[in-house]
Amino acid sequence: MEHLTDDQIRGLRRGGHDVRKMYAAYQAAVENRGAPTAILAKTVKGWTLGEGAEGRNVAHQQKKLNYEQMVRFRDELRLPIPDERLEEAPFYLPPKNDPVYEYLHECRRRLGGYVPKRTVSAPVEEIPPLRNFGDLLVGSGENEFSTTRAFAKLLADLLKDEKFGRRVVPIIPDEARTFGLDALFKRFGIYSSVGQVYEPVDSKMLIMYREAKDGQVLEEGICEAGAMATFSAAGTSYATHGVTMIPLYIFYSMFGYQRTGDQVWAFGDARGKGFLLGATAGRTTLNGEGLQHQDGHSHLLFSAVPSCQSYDPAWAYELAVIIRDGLRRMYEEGEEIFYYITLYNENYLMPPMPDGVEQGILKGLYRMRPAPEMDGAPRARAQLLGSGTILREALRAQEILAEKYRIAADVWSATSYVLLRRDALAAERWNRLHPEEEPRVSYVVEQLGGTEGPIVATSDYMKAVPDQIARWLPDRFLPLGADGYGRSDSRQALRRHFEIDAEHVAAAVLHELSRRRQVKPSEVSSALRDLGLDPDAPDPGYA
Amino acid sequence: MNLQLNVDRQTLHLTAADSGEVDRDPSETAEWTQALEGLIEHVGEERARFVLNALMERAQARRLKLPLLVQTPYVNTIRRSEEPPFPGDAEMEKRIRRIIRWNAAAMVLRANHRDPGIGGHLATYASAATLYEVGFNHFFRAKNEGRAGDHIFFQGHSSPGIYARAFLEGRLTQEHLENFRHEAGGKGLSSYPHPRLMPDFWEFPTVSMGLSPLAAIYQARFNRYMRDRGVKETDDSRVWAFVGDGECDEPEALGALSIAARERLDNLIFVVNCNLQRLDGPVRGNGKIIQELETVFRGSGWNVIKVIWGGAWDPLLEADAGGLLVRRMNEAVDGDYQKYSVEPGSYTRQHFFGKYPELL
Repeated sequence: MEHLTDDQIRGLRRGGHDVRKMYAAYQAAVENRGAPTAILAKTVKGWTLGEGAEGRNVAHQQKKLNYEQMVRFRDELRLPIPDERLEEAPFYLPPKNDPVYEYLHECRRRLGGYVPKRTVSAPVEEIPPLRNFGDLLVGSGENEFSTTRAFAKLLADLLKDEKFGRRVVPIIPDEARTFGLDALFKRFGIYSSVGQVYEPVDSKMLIMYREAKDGQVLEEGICEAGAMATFSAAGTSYATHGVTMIPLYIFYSMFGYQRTGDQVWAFGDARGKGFLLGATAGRTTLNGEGLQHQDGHSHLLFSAVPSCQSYDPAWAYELAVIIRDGLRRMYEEGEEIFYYITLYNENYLMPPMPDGVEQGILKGLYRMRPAPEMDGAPRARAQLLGSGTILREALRAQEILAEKYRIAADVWSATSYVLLRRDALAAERWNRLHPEEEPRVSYVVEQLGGTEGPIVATSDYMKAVPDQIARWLPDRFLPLGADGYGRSDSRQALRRHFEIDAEHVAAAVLHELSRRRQVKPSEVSSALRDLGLDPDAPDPGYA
Repeated sequence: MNLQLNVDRQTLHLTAADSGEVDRDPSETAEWTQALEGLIEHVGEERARFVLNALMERAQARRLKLPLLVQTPYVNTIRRSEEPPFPGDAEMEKRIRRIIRWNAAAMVLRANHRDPGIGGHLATYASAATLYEVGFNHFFRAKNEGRAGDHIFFQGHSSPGIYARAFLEGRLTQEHLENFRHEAGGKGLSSYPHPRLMPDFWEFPTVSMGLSPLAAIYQARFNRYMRDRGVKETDDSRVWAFVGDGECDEPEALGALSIAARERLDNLIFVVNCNLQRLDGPVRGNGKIIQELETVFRGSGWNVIKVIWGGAWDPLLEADAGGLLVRRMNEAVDGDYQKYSVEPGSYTRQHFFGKYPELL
């Protein structure tokens, strides 16, 4: 080293600051075939910023330079910025005729334009009308099935759609059989870049594990992070590729957000579009799997993502209406939003769609079954809100209240508390800022404000989910919900444990009526006994 | 003795000398190494590689425990003689980088002068300017009629440099730059890449550490899916992910590497900016992050290109016939290298080269 001065030694740079070395590396990378390339480039943090920043442990937080540092920085970069202006750190552009401009623009011309740049050029889609989902609208007749089954049917219909079926992207992290989606494997194939080089063990079966180079299903293995990353690539394709792809990613509702929440947030940031389906939903509906699997809070987690529209439907027709409208909003209207929809695995009879409920389903609430007629006037009235499978408990409570207590209760399907809340907040904001105008009335107040009696909500999710609308229904609203760690038992036993079943709903209505002095406390006590409810049972929120 | 058990835990370095084994017959060792040298010299590298592969296959068949060959010495993967000629105007590009460097720093300084505490980062882009500029001038393809274009995941903390380039290109105005991190009025530039906030500029949000390498792998695979299903031709499109060395500590960053190799995603390039530092201190003060990452990437089946030393080192390395300089490069840890970057040349002379008097 004798031939080098100290300054020359200091001038021995790291490779990442050498344009020729980096060019050689990039060139080798783009010429490489058969494997991805990682370039590991060694650099100095804060390079050229001078002493005090370059290579120092504090470099990352450095956001100020003093006058001497500015002088050195300017000299290092050899820019014609006068000393007296250094303290204000002025921006610098060379004069218009400087050859750097021609060079720089010519480089970009050769490469096709400027980056980064985001453009949305995907054409508007024609969405099939709701009647195309006819099977889900007419009810199940004598057949019981689940909303997960309804989704499988709907997904198959979308895949078969002549216009955009090809661009539907089903994404599943190794749970297709759990969700009853394994029939897609044979018909649409699982994507594999090499096709299928072996004979599958089930090749002679009706449903076989078929991999294909043009397979449509992305079966991602046990990897929610990978599935979410694929969902992101597909859901932003309308901008990054100028081609609309329609991803539907179905996962265990407990794991989807909880494992990959940061990616979900980034997806919203990226203006991603698509459908996330939280299957095996509900803390008591998925009943045997216990604490780590039974989801009673994903709706709360997704409620935090501003561009996410969350729904907790109970019936097949609700699901069809929601997905059809989602397709319309995202791919016809071009809204940069996405959907989270919970799907349950409990089988029951699906009713046909009543008339005039579509808007209510989409806005988050509609009266599904008015109180039954009874002989003479009812003692009192009440409103019961139910979501998902637990809507059926509200329907059963309606019967109990009518038959045993002569209380007339309307049952409402609450498909989305978060959307009701956003609408109410928007109305509230408008009123706050327009003091002299006619106040706006939120949808939830428009629907429930004029009704009579206490409002009791029940669902397979935490009480905080229905509580989102409580503020606009002062002194009328009582939520029941599955707060607390889940556990394994029968659905019936779990719904009793979490106090969300019909009997607890009925007792909660009586309690609320006693607060209003329409019912005596002693009558509530005897009802608790009659309904078989233990007042001293452990609080499930702490159990 | 089993070589694998003697891997230096800090550097995972795998030379015979580091293994702690004693050479019981140096002249026999010399015969073997000379034979290899002769083969390379007279028949060529390709043949030498073939013969060595054959020997290794035989050794494995005989159950000799061989070292994991996932790490190479701490020098550039590409030798000077293999470098292609640089097609650009190096002086012009240096001027461009200097202007961008200045404006990137000015943007952060002015934002903090106007609003102390608003934050921003000077040092990340300062370390990465060359990595980006070589891409901008020679590689990054834009989307336009008939061309799919590249998907580029810019490292979040380097956003000031990307804005400064767009300013020089005339795509952003001084008013935009004055409003770096001042977005509430609607004319600002976002702190980091956020398509939600700048929908005509950024494509990918990248600042949550570890998510963009993961996203880039699946983006590259999804581009293949689009092609294989006949939806879109994506063969001339590449995915570039600019990643920090500290960022690689996030499990998401490296967790999907094997998928990229399994899917043979040669449309994917990671550029890991190894500035050896994270927020609080060195990424691997006691080891070498580049060597560690090399083992992880190569072990996962990736092509790895290390760019450690600038051109001024080439004559020194070419004069290093005995391999002592490379040995010294292998020995020093990142904590040492960081120190050399802040101390005067005399320190490096004394502590780096001076360890072996022959190097002085």
